[in-house]
Amino acid sequence: MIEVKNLVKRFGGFTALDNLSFNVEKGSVYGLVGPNGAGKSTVIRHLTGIYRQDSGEVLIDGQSVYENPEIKQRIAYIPDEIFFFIQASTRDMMNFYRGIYPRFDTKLYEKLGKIFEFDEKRPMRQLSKGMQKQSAFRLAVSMRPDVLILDEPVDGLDPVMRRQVWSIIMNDVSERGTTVLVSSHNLRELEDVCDHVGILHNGRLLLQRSLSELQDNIAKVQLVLPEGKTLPEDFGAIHQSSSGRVLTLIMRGSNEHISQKVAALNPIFFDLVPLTLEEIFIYELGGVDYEVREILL
Amino acid sequence: MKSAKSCFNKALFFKNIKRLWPVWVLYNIAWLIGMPLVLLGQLSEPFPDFIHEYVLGNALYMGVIMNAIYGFVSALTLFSYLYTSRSVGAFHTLPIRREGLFLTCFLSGLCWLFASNIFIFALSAIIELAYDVLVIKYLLEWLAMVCLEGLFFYGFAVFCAFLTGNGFAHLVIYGILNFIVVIIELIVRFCSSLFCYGLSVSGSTNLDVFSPIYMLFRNTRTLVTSLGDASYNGWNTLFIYAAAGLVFAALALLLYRRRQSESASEFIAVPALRPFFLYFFAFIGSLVIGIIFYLAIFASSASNPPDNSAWALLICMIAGGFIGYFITAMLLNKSFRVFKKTGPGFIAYALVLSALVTAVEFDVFKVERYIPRLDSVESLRVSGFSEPMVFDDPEVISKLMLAHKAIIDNKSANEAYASNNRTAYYDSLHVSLQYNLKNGKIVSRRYDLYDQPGVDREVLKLLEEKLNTPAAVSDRMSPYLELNSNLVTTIEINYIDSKNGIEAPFQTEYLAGEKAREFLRDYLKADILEGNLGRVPVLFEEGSENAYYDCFIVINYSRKGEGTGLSDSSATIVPNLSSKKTMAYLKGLGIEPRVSDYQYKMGYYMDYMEYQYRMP
Repeated sequence: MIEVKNLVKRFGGFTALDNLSFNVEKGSVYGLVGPNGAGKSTVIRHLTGIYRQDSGEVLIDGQSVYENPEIKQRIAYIPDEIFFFIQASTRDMMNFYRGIYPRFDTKLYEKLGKIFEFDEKRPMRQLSKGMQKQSAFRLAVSMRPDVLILDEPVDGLDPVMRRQVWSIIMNDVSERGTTVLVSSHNLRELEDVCDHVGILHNGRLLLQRSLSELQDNIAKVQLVLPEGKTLPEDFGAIHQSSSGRVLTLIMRGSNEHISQKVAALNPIFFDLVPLTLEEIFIYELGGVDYEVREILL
Repeated sequence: MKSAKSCFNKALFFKNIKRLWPVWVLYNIAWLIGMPLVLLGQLSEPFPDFIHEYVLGNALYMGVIMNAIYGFVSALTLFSYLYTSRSVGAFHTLPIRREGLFLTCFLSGLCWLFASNIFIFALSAIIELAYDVLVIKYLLEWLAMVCLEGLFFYGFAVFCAFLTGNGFAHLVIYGILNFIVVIIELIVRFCSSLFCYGLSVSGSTNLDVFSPIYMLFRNTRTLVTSLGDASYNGWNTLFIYAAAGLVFAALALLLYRRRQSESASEFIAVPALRPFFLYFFAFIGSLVIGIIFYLAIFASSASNPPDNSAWALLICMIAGGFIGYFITAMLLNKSFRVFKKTGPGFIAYALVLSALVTAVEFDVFKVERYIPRLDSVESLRVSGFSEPMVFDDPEVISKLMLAHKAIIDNKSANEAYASNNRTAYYDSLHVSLQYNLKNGKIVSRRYDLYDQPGVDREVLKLLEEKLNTPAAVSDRMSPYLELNSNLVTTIEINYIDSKNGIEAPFQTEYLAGEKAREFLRDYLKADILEGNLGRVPVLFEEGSENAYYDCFIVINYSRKGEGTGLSDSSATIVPNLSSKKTMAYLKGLGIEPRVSDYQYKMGYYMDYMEYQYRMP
C-alpha cells in the first residue's frame, strides 16, 4: 500500500532523510518510532504530499503522492498540531472538508458525535488540546480514508478517550482494511496496536519488522552463575547489568538459541523475559550509540 | 494519474469568501465614505461643479492608495497559509494541486475586489441619477480605473507573498519594492555630486516605472477640459500596470510550483534569491542609513561637506551597509549568531563598495572629466546667472566647453574652499551645463562655483567672457534678431530713473507704431548684432560692461508671420551697460535708468526659480 523508496530529503546542508526505504502492507498498522530528530515527521510530510522529495519515491498504491489529488483524497492525516481556520468550529471544518473530500461520510460524522461529546459549534480555538484532537479524529475518520496517517495521535487525550480512539481506528482497520501509519513516542501504546514497526534514526531505518519478529529476535535473560564463575567476555550480550549475584543480560537471537547458550554456562538459575517495544527501541538504538539508553535504564 | 479538474475548488473559494469578510467589509466602508457619501455631500451643494473631475480624481488618488492597501491585505490573508508549518501542512495535504490552491485563492481576492467596486459604482450611479447629473461614462471610467489599479497591486502583492516566508517579510518586501527605485534615485541624486565632481542626475528617469505608487501619482493626471468636464490621461500606464499585475500573478504561480513547504516562516522563501536580498539590503542600508549617518555626523548641512566628503560618506555607507547586511542575515538565518558565518560576505561587500567609491572619487570611469565631443552636441543649455540660455552655434559651444574644462581643472581649489568655509554654500553660484546630444541623450553637470580670488573667480571670468562674445550673444538672442520689425505693435519701457532713490518704483513709457519698429530695428537689433545687448553678468563688478540697468524693455508683437522662435506674444530684454545704441535712444526720450545692483542676485534668484520648477 505505502512504498517509500530511497527517499532523500535535505534542509540546507542537513540531510533529514538519507536513502530511506520501507513498505507498509495494506490493512496493517505500522508504527514509526525513533528518537527526536530522527526524521519521523519529515517522512509523514512526504507521505501526505506536503514535502517534495529531493530524490527517491513516495508511493501509495503504486502512485506518487506529491501533487496527486486522486491519491490524497484517500489519505487522512492528523498532525501533532491540529490546524483549523481561526474562527472555525468543528462543524465549520466538517462543512469545509465535506466539499473537498468526496468520500466524506456525514452520517458517520454525526454518529461519531455520540462518542466525542463536545460542542461542535464552539470555535476550535476555544477547545482544549485534547478536544481539538478529538475533533480532528472525528473529521479524519469521517473522510473514510484508505490510509490514515497519525503523528502523535493520542497526545493530550485522557486514558478513556485514548481507548475510544484506538478502538475506532482498529475497527476501521478490521472493517475497511484501512492502512494506518502512526508515529509516536508512546511505545507501550504502539505495542498494543501495531503489527509492524520501523525504527528510524538519523534519517535511516534501523530495522523494520513485525512486532512478533522483533520480540522473537531479542530477549532479556536473568541468571545466577555458580560461585566463582564469571560470564565469558565474548558471550555476546548487547547489554548487561547486575544486582547482587543476579545478572541481567540483553541478547539477540531466538529464545531457543539464547536458552541453549545460557544453559551451557550451567547457571544456578536462569529465566527468559520478552522485551517490551520500549526496551527493544532503547537497546536497538543503544547499538548506534544513542546516549539516552543509560538515562532510561 | 493526476487530476485534470483541480484548478479551482469551490469549497475553498467559498470558505475564503466567508472567512475573510472583515477585509472586504472594511474596503467597502472606506469606498462608501470616499465615493457615494462624498458625492452625496457635493451634490447637495447649490452648484456642484467639477463633480466628474472628482470622480476621476478619486479613482486615481484614493484608488491607488486603497488598492495598494487592499492588494497587500488580501494577498496576506489569502496566502498566509504559506507562512506557518501547521497551515501549510494542512493546505498541502488537501487533495488540490498547487495550481488549484493558487487560482482558487487568487480568484477569491479578485472576485471580492471587483464585486466591491461594482457595488460602489452602482451606489454612485444611483446617487448621481437621483440628482440628475449622471454621466455614466465617468463612473464607468472610475470602475475601470480602480479595477485596473486593483489588478496590479493585488497581483504584485501576491507575487511578494510567494517571494517571502512570513507576514513581516511580505509587508517589508511589498512596501520596499513599491518605493525602492524612487528612493534610490533620490539618494543617488543627493550623493552623486559628493562622489563625482559636477555629476548631476536631474529630471525623471525611465526607472520611475518601477515605483508604481509614485509613478501613478506623478505621471498621470485627471484634466479639467471645461467646466464640469474631465478626462484622464493615464490609460496606457494603467493598462500596462494591470498587465504587469497579471504577469506578477503568473510569476507567483511559477514560484509556487517550485516553492518548498518547509520555507514557511523563512524571511525569503526562494533559497536562490537569499544572497541577492542579503546584498540588496546591504546596499539599501549603505544608501539610506549611510546618508543619515553622514548628515548627522559629518555635515551640519549637506551643503557644507567636509574636505574629504567622499571618504566620510564611504565610512558612513560601510556602517549603513553593516547594519543592513547583518539585520538581513539575522532575518534570513533566524539567528543572532551570524557574524562568523556571514562576516566574510560583508567584508567582500565593503571591499567592493570601497573600490567602487575610490574608482569614482579618482574618476577612473572618466565621468568627472567627461565633456561630450563637439560634433555630437546639438545644443548646450547654461543656467545659473539669469534665465536659462540655450546655444546651438558650434563655435559658441566649443568656447563654452573650454570654460567647462577650466571648471573641471579647478576642482581642487573649489573643494578646498567649500570645506574650509562654513558659509560657502550661500556665496556660491550654481552653474548648470546641459548638453543635448544629437543621439537624444542628455549630459548634465552642475557646479557650485565661488566668486573668490584663488578659488573660482578666474573660472567665472572665463565663463563670463565666453558667454558674452558677440557670436554667443547673437546666437542666444537670435529669436529677437529674427523677429520681423513689422510685427511689432508696441514696446513698453519699464525702468527706475537714475535720479530717484533706492525705493523708487518702476516707471513705464510706451512706444507704438513706427517708433517702436524703428527702436527694435535700428537700436535693439544693432546692439544685439554687435554683442552689446543680451549680455550675461556672471560676476558682480561695479562698472562692468555686462551689468544690467534697472530697465525691462517689453516688445509686444502680433503673431502674424510666426517663425521667430519666440514663444509668446511679447518678449523682454534687459539692457546692459554695453548697450550704447539702445541707451542713447532712450536718453533721447528722456529715459535714464539707473544701473542695477541686483543682477548677481537676480541670476541666483532665476536659477533658484528654475530649480524649483524642475523639482519633481
